[in-house]
Amino acid sequence: MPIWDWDFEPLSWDPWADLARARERMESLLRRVAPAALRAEFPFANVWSGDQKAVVEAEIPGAKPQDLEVSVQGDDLTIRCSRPPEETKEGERYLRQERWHGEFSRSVQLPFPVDEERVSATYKDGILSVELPRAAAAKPSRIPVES
Amino acid sequence: MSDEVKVVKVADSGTPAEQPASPPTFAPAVDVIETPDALVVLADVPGVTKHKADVLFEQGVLTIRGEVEKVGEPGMRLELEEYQTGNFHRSFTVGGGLDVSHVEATVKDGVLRLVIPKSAALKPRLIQIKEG
Repeated sequence: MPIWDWDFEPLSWDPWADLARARERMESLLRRVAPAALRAEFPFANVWSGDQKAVVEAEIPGAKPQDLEVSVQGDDLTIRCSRPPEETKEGERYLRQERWHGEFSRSVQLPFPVDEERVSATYKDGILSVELPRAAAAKPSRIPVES
Repeated sequence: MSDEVKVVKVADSGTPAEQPASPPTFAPAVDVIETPDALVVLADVPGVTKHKADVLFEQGVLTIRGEVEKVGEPGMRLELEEYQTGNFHRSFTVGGGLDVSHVEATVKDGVLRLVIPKSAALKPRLIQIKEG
């Protein structure tokens, strides 16, 4: 029988119990991260493709718009983001820090060339979503089938 | 502008709400900051809006939950998956000294922020030293 049910952890800091549960917590947080992420850099991205466009999404909660930068070159999308930790004033201290902080930059390879002029990006509820229309030349062309 | 989150207090205990079968549910990463007056809890819940988040407190256990509206891009092919989208759920036992009935909860840009005031007894007090 476990001494600590990791789901019911104390909100205030208990360093010894934290050490005991740290590994379990790390593992369960990692469950969220798909195997591809083991080779990936931050922020993690998901990429979808369709006939007309590709979509890249990254989770960057709590970022300010000025700390986000998206650029496209060829079939590479680069995302730069910055998320500093919350400033602590005098008399304040972190009891627990699990969320990631810092400055990150990574590139994602796109599934096909895109029309750089028509790329658009939105940031909503902590999710950066980039829409990349396929470059005209790269669109699968319909070949009429004559009967 | 931050959006206020509905705080649900349950007086009587019951079993915690069952988790939905799909999409999957994850525990959000959390930062906890202690200030002289309160405990501030910050949880990363990207994709969760105030309408889909709630905070429960029953029998000394504080639970934060969030549901995401959209999972993935329907109709498109997934080329690369570095993270999974899902709902969020995490529980904490709350020690004495925290006034959970006055918790303030807001969600902004996928971050759930709880400010739990300390009970008067726990606040640091300056003790006067008198001449002996």
